[in-house]
Amino acid sequence: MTQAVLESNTVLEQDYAAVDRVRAHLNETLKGKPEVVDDVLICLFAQGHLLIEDKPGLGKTTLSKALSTAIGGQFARLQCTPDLLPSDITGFNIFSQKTHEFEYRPGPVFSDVLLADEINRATPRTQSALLEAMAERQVTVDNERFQLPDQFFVIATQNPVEQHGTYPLPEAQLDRFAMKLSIGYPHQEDELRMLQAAIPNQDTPSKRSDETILANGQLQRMQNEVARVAVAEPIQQYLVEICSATRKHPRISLGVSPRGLLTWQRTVQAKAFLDHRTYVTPDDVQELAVPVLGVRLGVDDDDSTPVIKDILQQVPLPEYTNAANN
Amino acid sequence: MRHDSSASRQRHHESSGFQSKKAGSVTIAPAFLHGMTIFLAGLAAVGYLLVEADDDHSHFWMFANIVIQIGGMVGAGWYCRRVAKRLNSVPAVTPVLLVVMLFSYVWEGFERLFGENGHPFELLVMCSMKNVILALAAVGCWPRYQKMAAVSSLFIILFTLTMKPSIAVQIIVAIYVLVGVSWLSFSHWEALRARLLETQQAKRSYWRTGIAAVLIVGLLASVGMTDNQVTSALKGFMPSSGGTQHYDPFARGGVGDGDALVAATENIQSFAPIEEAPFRSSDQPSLYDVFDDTYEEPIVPKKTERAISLPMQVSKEVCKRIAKSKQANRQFSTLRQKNPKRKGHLKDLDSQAIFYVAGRVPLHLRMQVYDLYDGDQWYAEDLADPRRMQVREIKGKPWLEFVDRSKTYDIFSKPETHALKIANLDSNRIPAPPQAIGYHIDKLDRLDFIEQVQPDVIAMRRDKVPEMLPIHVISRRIDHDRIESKIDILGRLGGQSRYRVLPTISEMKQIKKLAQTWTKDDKHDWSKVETIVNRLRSEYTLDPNVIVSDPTQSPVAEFLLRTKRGPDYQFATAAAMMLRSIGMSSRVVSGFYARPDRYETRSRHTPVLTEDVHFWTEAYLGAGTWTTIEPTPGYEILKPPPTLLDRTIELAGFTLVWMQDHFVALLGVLFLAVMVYWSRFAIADAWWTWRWQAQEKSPLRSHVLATFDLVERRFRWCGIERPQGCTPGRWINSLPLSFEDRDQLRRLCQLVDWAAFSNTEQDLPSDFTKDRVENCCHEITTKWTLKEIRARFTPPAHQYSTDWHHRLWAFIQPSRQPTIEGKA
Repeated sequence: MTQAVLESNTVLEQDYAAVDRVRAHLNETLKGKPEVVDDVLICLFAQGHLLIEDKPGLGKTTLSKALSTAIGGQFARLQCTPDLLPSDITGFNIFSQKTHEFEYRPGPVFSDVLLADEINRATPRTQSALLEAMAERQVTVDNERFQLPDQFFVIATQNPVEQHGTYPLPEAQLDRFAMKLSIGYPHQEDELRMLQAAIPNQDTPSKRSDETILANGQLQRMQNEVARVAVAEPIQQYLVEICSATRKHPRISLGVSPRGLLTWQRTVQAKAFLDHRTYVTPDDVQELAVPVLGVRLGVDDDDSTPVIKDILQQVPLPEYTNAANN
Repeated sequence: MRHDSSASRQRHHESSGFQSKKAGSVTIAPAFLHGMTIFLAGLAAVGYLLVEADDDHSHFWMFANIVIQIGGMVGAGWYCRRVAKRLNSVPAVTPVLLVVMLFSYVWEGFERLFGENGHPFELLVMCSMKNVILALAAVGCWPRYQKMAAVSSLFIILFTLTMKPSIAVQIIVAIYVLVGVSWLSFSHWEALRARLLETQQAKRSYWRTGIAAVLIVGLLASVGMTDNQVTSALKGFMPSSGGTQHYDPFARGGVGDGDALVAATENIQSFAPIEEAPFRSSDQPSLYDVFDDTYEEPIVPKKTERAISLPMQVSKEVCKRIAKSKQANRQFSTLRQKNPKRKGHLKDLDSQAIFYVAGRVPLHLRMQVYDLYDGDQWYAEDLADPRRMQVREIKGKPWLEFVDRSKTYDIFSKPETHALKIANLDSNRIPAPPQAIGYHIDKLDRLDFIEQVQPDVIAMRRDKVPEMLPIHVISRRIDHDRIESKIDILGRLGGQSRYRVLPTISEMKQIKKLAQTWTKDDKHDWSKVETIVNRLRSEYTLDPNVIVSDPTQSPVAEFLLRTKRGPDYQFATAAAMMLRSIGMSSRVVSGFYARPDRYETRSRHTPVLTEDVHFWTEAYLGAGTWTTIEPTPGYEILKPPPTLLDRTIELAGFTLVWMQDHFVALLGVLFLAVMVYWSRFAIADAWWTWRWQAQEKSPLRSHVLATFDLVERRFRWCGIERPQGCTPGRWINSLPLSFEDRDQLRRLCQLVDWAAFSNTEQDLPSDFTKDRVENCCHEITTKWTLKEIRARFTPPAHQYSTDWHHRLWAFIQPSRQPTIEGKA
């Protein structure tokens, strides 16, 4: 028994170390944005997908690539345009002259990390094909079902500036993303460091950015680990309270769905895991409220952040009492 | 699931008024429901106070009582709401309620022991219930107490209606019903909204509320119409002091068990001076006698007097010997039919009193008026021209009143009523206060029963006023302060000349001179009167034993010029003579003086005994108005009913005097209070620190949480409060602290998170040992003392604000100022 506990503790220690290494690696790649890196990792461990709403050139692709290599997976990139077809994503059957049979050519969706750039430029038809793949982790082409890899992780981006000729994602589709983030411009010092790092130096050879950190199957184990992180009942109560508050808030037209609630709990667990904890705290809930709720709340105003902060202030915290002993 | 988002949004707007705040697992009722409950409880309390006062206390005290009690409740309610927002569970209110309930009983004990006053049992029970309701309404921010308060306030209201169905109470009940129905429907919808949010239709509830309100008001109104059958039916369920055969000296509304004047409405076996009682014949001459001309001649008592015929229903009772109670405060020793044992032992409760006065005292009651004085003797005045009287019905009761009451001067206060309950008055004259306007004797609606025997003195056309007869008299007081502004009203030339006739005695010149010397500085007639009265009262001594028996001497001169001592008739005579000698009309009156020191608190009567016979003087003001003058020291004239302002000033004066008397003690208490107030946080800190230390042996998790609780309290006492919704970690981050301090406190926050939310399997937080945890707790509590926190955080800027109410607020509640808020 003790042996088993010790063993699992060692495994946990190893996983924590691996997480820290991945995090360090990503921070090295995307300088000065540790919170973005954390959120991306949370999404990954919570088996959710990520929507990044930001301007071009801020490092989305760099981050995605680094992530896919770090977890030892395959990276694919999809540039969404209005003429992008669903089959461009899922792949299609082609008639082979050699075999005189239809052959399936898998699309970019068959990857571990998929970067769907400017997703709102694709037509709703294409968008829904991608979103189905995200939700079900499978694609269906000509009645044939193809399973996607377990760690399939989508980072979709939106350009908030140019709205002309776009198809904004409907609220129901937005719910399939775990979080919405914006990277934002880096600080001046970080930009300076970035510039310096761009010049190859003889003395400190730049780290190879394509090194794989996680062992085979380790990500899956970690994801299972995350799902097991304890969430005390008061915290769950707190989550439910906040969700019901979003449904009652006068400035919110669409509150959090039960699916959103489940996703939120999983991301909160991932956050605790990232901080090497086996339990969830109210801080985790509050810190993830803006990215998680931001993607799925139908707010009358454009900016949902003040509303979410308002709700967080209104809903009383779970009591800091010794619930375990009672 | 919601499909129509716009519709649901609208619904939210509508229902936002209903929104209740949920704190943890505890719901706090919306403010308007709480307010309604407080209103209901307040109405019930006012109703109860009306019953308790029973028209007997002054309006001022009742008003003050209402204001204090309801103010207290509203204040407590407001405080509870504030506290409730911070608490995450319902606090234990029951002990407080118990204390509140017991308080009225304890207080009653004190009152009966020291105050010679008390409440009947049913009022006592209701009083304690009312107090509990007020307390419940105050804590009504928690729904369960709110409902209890509302339901029990209904009980009090029913009780009120049963005990005293007056107009005021009916209005209160009507308002209560309206608010109560709204409360019911609102709380119903509030409860429903909490459970079935989706199916709520707010608009419909208003309809239902309205219909229900109309229905219930109609129902209640019909109850009022039908001779209060429902309410009288309720009487049986109400606790009352009657019928239990248990003696209670403070019983009020029951039968035969208390000292107070009570009325039995059926089958009485005894008789006392009250009107509601049916009358039975006795061999004593009574004003009401059985007269039955349908059959035989009625049984003729030995002595017959004039009587009023009573209807047959009343007179059909057999002639039995009935017990009499001549004491006004002991009325009935009733026999009930079901208990034949008690029959036949009826005791008379005899009384020394001639009659009793219910109403304000001191009161002068005229019996005889004298106008001529020959130096030794006063001669009673004859009635020159009797004033016309008439019978007028007021509220179904006949009143005999003077017709041409002059209203020339605006010197009268509002009329007030006194009730005289005759016990042993051996005269046919009705003792009446000065300026009496009207008389009421039950069922007496004929003028030929009375006659005017002297000016302003009426008598019954009988040998004597019957025993056990209640007589009501309306009279007006003359406001002497108002006379001063009307200097010319004194009837110098008015009135008949016989009121100015002086006796032909040798010392008259000296008396005249004395009067002129006394009044030479006075410009106005009234101030002359006052000077004479004041000098007589201050320079002369009341001594009933000084009797002038030498017929060669004039008693008035002897008294005024030489002995300066004498009984009250000497004072009256002297005053009259002096007034006459400066040309004013005056006369001497004999009668009774109802002494305020004889007032009996329990029965609320003033007995008038034989020794209360008194002489006084009256001065003529013109226009048929005589005002009472009291030259005898120790006797007072009844002043007009004090107004609210008068009472307030009196109270303030009394308070000042009291404060002067207890100056040192008061200063000590004040000093102590200020000291306690200033060091209240230190005291609280000592207490909580002690509690924390006592818990040191408790499990590690509890210890960590207790430590954080203590530290948070200390910060709060220094004016730094963790805002709602702000986690400890974020809160510490938002405080302006040095790196090391923040690190230390953040470690505590980590421990708190672990203690509160981690799995039980995990014995210790990662990177911590048991010793480290305990050390951390100990270090933090010893480092972050109140003093330390105060030194680090400068007081918030607005404490120095020039705005006075900010400063006042900061002074009263420094801990409530959210000085540094967490950046949410």
